[in-house]
Amino acid sequence: MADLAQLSNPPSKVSYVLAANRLGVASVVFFIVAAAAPLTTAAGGVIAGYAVTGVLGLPVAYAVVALIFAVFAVGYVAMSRHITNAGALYTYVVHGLGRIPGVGASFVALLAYNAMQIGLYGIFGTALSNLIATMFAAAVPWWVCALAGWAVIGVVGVLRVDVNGRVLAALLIAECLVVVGYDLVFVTHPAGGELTFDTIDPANLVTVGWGATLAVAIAGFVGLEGGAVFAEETKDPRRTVARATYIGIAFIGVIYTLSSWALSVITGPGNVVAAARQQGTMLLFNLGAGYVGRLVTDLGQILFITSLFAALLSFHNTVARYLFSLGREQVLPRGLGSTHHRTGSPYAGSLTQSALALLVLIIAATGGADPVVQLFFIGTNIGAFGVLVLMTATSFAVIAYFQRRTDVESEWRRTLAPALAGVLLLVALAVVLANFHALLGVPPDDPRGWVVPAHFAAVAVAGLLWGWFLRIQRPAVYRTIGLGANRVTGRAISELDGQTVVIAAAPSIVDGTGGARTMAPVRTELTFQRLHTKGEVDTVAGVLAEALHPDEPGEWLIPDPYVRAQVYPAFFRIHALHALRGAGEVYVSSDRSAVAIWYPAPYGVPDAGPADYDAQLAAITGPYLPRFLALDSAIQAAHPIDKAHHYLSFLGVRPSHQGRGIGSALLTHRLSDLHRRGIPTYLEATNRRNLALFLHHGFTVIGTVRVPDGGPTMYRMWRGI
Amino acid sequence: MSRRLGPPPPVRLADQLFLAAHDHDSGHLQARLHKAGLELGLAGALLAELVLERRIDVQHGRIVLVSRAPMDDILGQTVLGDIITELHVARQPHTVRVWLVYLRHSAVVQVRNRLCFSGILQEVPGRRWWGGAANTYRAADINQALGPEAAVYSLLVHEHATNTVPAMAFAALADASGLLPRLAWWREQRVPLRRRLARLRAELPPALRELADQTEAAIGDAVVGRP
Repeated sequence: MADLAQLSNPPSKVSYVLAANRLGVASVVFFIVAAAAPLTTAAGGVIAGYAVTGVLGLPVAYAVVALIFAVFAVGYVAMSRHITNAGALYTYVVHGLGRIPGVGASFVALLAYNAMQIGLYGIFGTALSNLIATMFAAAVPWWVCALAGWAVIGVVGVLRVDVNGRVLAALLIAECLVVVGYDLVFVTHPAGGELTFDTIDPANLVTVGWGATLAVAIAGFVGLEGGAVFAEETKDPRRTVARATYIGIAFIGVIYTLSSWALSVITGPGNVVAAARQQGTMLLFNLGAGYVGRLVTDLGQILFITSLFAALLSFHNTVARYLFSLGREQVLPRGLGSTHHRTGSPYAGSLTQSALALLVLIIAATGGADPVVQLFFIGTNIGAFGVLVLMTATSFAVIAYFQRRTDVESEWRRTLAPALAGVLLLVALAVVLANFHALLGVPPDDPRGWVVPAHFAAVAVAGLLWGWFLRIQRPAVYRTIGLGANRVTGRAISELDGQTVVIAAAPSIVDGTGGARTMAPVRTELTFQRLHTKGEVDTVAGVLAEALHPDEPGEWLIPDPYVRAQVYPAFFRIHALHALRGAGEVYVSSDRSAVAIWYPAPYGVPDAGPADYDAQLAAITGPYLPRFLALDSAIQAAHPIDKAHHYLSFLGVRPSHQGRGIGSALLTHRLSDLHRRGIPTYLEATNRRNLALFLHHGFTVIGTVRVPDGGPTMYRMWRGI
Repeated sequence: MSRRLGPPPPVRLADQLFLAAHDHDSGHLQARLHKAGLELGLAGALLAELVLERRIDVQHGRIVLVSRAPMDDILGQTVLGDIITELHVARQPHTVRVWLVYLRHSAVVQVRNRLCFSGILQEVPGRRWWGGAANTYRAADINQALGPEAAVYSLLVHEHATNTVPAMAFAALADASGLLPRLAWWREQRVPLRRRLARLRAELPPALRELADQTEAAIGDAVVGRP
């Protein structure tokens, strides 16, 4: 069927121009892997994870989280095809669970991404300070380096510096090569000369504090959920984001599992925790230093910095965009929705994030906090916890959203996968909650273990209350929650896709829809549209002549099939031309295999023939004229005149395409629109087979049309509202 | 080069927006708006010109054709021609957003060329300091170039100014593209002006209102999207 739909679609200049700027799978994979920053996790998250939790099962946790993310991505990506502002997780909650939960989710998201970003400054400062120490033998405190990074991020965020894509790609590839290279070195030089697999034994995951390990692993994956932001900019919106997200998750999952395992191989499973605690973020480079040259070690450290910088910028931009969208929606002060006049960046959001980060950095520096264990580790894991909450809510939002749209996407994407993801995420959430004390390094019964979850709960409740307040006090703002920059138009841009355009009075306007999507036998590739120009009059007449050639009335009108085949195209051309000139409405399938001619009949019998119909008919039908006239007058006499309605004059499907439900879909397409507008319909069924079809579509027989002189019997059919 | 005789060519909506969106004081054009704002704003203005000339209409967020009568100016006819062509090749009329994104690629250059052709802008040959041609543009008559800004000022500031539809559409598009906060007089009285603008946009014919709204939303989406 796919090739059918393309038959009559000549290339469109607009589509061509728009497609030229679209993203392919590789670009989207690149964007999301860059946001996840592999080296940041391999040299930072993994080591801090071993050091703080002391759990050996970290590699297993990465693999498990990769699986959870993959299941989550199924429903998430499916929904991203149907909503606008798809980059923001809270939008999913708005569309699935409602606006008040949506505001709650947006608050949680803001806290989570801010925590994540600010936490990264801790390790950025440490790594830069280490680099300066090894290269220039100068001691610079971590917070000086962090503030330098902060200043650059702040400027880049406002200026929206467009770093060359090739430079970024080269850095990312180099980063991945460094990670894989170190992993290979580690695996080939196991401690004690024997390759150990202890850390990838699932039994080592389920120990005390494994919930903390799960949170560590999730922190490494945050950023991968950003692929949907590109949904509207991809070459093939149905597939690109989905493929890119799965590839990204698989790639990252393998790299993280491998890296955390390789680390335990070279140190020996028994020593990895102690080594991580002792050497911190330098562990990876120190371990490798014995096997690779100084140059590679320095390069690795530099790449670690650039990787961290990419992650910092990515989360900074995420927060700035969230603030911008919420400002545009006026959920937050509308000033946050301003753009910079020269660079077009969401600079108010960007500056707000920078200010917040500065505040936390100052507090951490003056309070003497440990940048890695306290700022980085706790910050990113608070972030991971928030993202976990968001993902859980999103999974249930996906299910709720597709409850109302059962005609799109498969059952697996709509319900099963999101339900599975929801349950898995709930379990993960429970486990993380129960072990949160381990993340903070406090005893299980210490109340501080509950401080972070309590903050999230407080923020979520504040969001819910704010949403509730908006509903009561500012209904105009409440109505447009989740629309982001589209608030001004009052609707989501994606709401237009596949929607019928109901044209009231304006002339020469094309109409069309994806109404066929509800019909099982017709593939989604086939759509229907209204013709407005005479350009295709011969196609329309041809389809009808072919389709109605074997029909009962035809056999009575012109018994000789050869003569009928000659007369019919001209006969239907009269009707098609009359309808296309504005008297009626001609609907066709996109492959031009099915045609329907409708007439509005607001007062009595519709204007279903041109003024000089009889003369034209005589010229075409010759000796058969009396029968044509008799049939027409019988049909006209039987036409109901008491109620305004629409009249289906002709409906035909090319014989080669019959039996696939195309005609039925074309009928449904029009009927659903008329039904929505409360307009009844009338038609004559020309034989018993059609009678059944129309009965199935809600028509009832209100009488028959008797044609004299042994003519066919037709059924007058009415479909009320 | 031959000049048309008779009355000077009209300064159309997109021309007005282009002139107002640039600073003319330094002798050559300096953009007051960022790239996305200027491009999408001009794209919206080109569509608004067709609405004002009753060639197209906006229904349910889509651009539909009302009349095929040729436009007086070449640029308008080009856009109209594209819209007519697409009616035959696309399955249904494109949304306003699709047209905005399509037109933004060429809008700035095309509107600038139209302004040069009608003699309102002049090309100033120049060279980059490292070599290569870098032509700049300047207004032939700075008073004429300031006209659109003055027009939107008097429309907004004087309560009883005559609200012609084209003038209102221009003010709405200037607001939608984020230009107004860039104008010198905006800051002191932005609260009453914003209120007046909101009322003015609400009073616009639906098609023009939708164009302005979609332009604003498209620029917002460009801010959030890929740089």
